[in-house]
Amino acid sequence: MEKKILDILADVNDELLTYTGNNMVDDSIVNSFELISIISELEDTFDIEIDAGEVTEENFGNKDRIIALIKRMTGE
Amino acid sequence: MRSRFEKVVVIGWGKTAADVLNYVTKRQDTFVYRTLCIECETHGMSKLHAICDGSGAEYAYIPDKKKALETIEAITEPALVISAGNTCLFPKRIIEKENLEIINFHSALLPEFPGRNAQSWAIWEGEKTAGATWHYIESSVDTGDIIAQRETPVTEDMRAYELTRDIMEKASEAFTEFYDELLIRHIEGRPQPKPEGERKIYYSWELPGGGVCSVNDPPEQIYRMLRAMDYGKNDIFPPARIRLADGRECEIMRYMKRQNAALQAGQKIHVEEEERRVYLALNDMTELMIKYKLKDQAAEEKSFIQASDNLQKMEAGGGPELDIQVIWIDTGGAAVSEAALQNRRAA
Repeated sequence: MEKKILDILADVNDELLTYTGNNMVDDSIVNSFELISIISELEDTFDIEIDAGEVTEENFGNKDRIIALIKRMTGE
Repeated sequence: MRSRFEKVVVIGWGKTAADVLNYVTKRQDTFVYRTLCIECETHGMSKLHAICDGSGAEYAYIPDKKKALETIEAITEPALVISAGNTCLFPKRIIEKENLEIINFHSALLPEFPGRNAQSWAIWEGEKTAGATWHYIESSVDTGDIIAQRETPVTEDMRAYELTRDIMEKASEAFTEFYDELLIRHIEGRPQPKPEGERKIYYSWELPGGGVCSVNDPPEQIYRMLRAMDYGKNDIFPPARIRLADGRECEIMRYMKRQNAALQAGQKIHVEEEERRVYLALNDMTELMIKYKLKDQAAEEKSFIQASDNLQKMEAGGGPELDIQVIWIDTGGAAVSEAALQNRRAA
C-alpha cells in the first residue's frame, strides 16, 4: 500500500517524498490542483471516498499523514 | 520608465490573481506605481496577502462586494484595475470613470461561454479547445474588446479542475506578455464577434446537464457531465445526481472510467445495489463506474428548510448571494478544509 501511495505522490511531485514539513500546501510543495489530483488518484486506487472535511493539514500535511489516513480508511 | 498609471489594483482570488499580483508587484518599481490588492473572497490557501507583505503592496480583504467597489470608485489618480477570478460586477459609473482602465480575465475563448464556470460549459458542450481571454470591461458581461487570447486543448478525459488549471496557466502567460506594454500605452482591443442569435450568459446556479443524469442516458453524455462538474472536493457545483432505473434519484459520490476486458458484448448497464454502484459501458473495453449514495432524508429536509429560508429572505429583498459558497478553494480550484481555514483565521 505504501508504495502505491508514494508512487501517486511522486507522480505529482517527487519532492513530496523527501519533504519533512507538516503543511505541503503552505510550503508550496504542491499547489491546489495537484492536491485535487492526489485525492482523486487515492480514491480511484484504493476505491475509497475521501470526504471534503478530511482534507485537512492533519491528514494531508505530508506523505506520512497521507499514508496514515489511507491505512485508517482501508482498515490496514 | 514611467507607467500611465499611478496605481494598479488587482481584484480577485485564486491562482490567476496570485500570478498577476506577483508580476504586477515585480514591475512596480520599474514602472513607478503603487499596487493595491483587494480580495472579496479568501481561503486558506490564498497567497495574495503574503505577496503583498513581501512586496510592500497594499492589501485589503473586503468581503462586502459593495464596499470593495466603493474602494475602487474612490480612486482619484490614474489607475489600472485588473480583475482576475473576481466575482464583483463593475457598475457603469465605475466603468465610465475617466481615470480608470479596467481589464478582466475570462476562462473561455470569448465570445464563447460568457458568465460563470465557462470551462465546465466547454467540457459539457464537447468543445475540443478552450482558453483564456483578457479583455476590457464594459457594462455588459464579458463583452469588452479583447486584449489577448490563448487556446488550450480540451482532452478526452479532462475534468473541470484540470481544464481550469490549464486555462489559468495560459492566462498568466498571456498577462506577462502584454502587461508592460499596457502600462505604457493603451492597447487597441479587438472587438468581439457578435454571436448569431441571442447571446447566452451562463450563471453560477446553472449546472451542466442540469446536474442530473439517468442511467438510461448515453454513457458518454453522463461522463461528460461528471467531468464538467468535477472540481475535486470544491463545491463549485452541488453534487451531481443520477436517476436509477427504478426512478430513485441519488447523489453521486465518485466516478471513474476504467478498463474492463470482461465486459460482455452488448452489455450496457450493470448495477451492484449493495455496493451502490452503477457500471455503464463506454465501449467494449471501457466502463464508467459511478458510486452513489441513497437519499439522506434528514439532509433533504435541512436543504428544504434552507431553501425556504432563502426564498423568504429573497422575498424580503435581502436574498442570499447568488454565488455558490465554496468550502475550500484556491484557483477556482484548491484545497483546504473549512476547519483549517478557521485555524488560519484564528492565527
